[in-house]
Amino acid sequence: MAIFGLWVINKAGGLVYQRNFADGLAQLTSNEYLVLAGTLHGIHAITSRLSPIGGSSSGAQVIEGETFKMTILLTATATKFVLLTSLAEPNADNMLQKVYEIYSDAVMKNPFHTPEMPIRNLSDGIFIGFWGRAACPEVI
Amino acid sequence: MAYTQPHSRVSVLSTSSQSSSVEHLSPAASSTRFSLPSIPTTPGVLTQRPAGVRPNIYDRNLNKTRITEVSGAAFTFLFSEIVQYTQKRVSGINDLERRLNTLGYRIGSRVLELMAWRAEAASKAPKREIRFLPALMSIHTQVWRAVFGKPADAIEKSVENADEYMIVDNDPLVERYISVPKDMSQLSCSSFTAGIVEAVLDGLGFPARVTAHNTPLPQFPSRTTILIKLEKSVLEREEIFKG
Amino acid sequence: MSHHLFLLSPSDTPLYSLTHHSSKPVANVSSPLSSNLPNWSTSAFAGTLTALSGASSSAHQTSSGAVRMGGGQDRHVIQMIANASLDVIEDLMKSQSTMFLKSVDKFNEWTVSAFITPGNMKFVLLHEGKNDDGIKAFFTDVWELYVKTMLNPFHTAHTPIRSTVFDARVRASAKKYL
Repeated sequence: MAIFGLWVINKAGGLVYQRNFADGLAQLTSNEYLVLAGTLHGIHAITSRLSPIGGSSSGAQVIEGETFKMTILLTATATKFVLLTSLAEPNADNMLQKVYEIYSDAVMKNPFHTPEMPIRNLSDGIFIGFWGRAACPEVI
Repeated sequence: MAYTQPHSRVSVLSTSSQSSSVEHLSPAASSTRFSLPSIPTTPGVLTQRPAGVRPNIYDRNLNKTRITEVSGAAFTFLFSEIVQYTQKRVSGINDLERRLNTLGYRIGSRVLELMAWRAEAASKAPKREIRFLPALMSIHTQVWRAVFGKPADAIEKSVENADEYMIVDNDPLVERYISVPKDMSQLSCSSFTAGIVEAVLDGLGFPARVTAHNTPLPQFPSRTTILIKLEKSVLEREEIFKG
Repeated sequence: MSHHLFLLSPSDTPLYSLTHHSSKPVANVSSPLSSNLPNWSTSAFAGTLTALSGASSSAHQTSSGAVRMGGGQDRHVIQMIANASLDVIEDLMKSQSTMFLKSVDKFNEWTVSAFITPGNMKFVLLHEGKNDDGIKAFFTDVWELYVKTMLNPFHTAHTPIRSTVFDARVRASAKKYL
């Protein structure tokens, strides 16, 4: 069980936050991450129209590979949180909820953050909270 | 809900008093009459003062603290907006801190009066704090508790300067969700808190210059020190008391 | 018997004043200065001087009980007495921790009592005769009303108080206690 990384994608498909927590996945260049996030954004938008019942659905929630899976949380404001974990990780959904909560506190309440812009300047304290709490299953 | 009600009351009163003859003909007026039965939920309001006027502060009880606690999220969003608003109108970090201090000052002068009233109004002989150290203690505990819901973490006296005192807060509420950009690293949004402290000291007759400084520790990354630099007159006065 | 209330800001600017004529009986206070002062009717300041000396202040109570303005009841004389007492009040408030300072100063028939809020607002009351409990209750009421005024975001410690509700409440309290 491992948490490899976290992405935050804004409603326009831009990657506003990307951080790796554990080794296990190959490093990509920042440009590759941006492209990946943009592509995922597009795929997610189309998958949300795939539902046979009509109307829009939540879109893709989990995408699995051989060694990892990505769990996607779409918020009401169209921000996407993507958590990259090992296949065996059972807690990804809960963790994403927690990440969303921390995001609402540490990012949205920060006067120095501009909505939809890259998340920078997270102070150390909040930063530890940001991934520390999300990365520690025992607090969830 | 609370905001829409007075308007419905306005319409009820104005139609019945100004155009009582039209009232029976116009369907609009008759529909407002149907809303009358809902009004007795606030019977005193109608008889005591003109409709549309919300109960003023003089009618309220100053002691209702439990039910009027402010939501932490509401406060942080408001404070975040305050910082953003202020930041757009200043020329530098010092200016920003000064303005936050001024805003805090306005809070502090009210907090002082209200807090003292709550603590002393019921007493037979209400007292003010006239010595500096007890006043500092009461800021550390009472003011902090009234404003932030918990006492501050420490009071320190400067070793080098006799006129300097410090109040330490390990996790200041106003800064809990604030990450200051690296290029503004000396900014402390607790200048707002410093303003509150300055107002309280000023009100009690201990004029001082109060500033806020980041003094992080590994276990408390947002630890903040409120530095109080007393005016000379305060020290002289304290000397007289000692003598 | 009349009362004069002044609310002074921390910088001693008057923010509110009230003259209250109470129907309660006047306690006799002698004015020792008045008897040995000549009547300077020619001076332009004659009114003020005689008023300050306290001469003929008792003569202003007309038979109907209404108080005629003039002499010891002159507005500017009252203000002068209130201002003069500020020095005493400022000395006392540094050494005494009670908010209510009773009978801090006396001038002719006037006794001055004061109330200092923690925020350094001064309530100064000029009164004739002794009524400590009533005055204290009155000050406590004014204090509460002042704290409520202070909670108005448009009010600062230096803004004159023009609220009609405040005025009405202070008057009601004066009627009750003074």
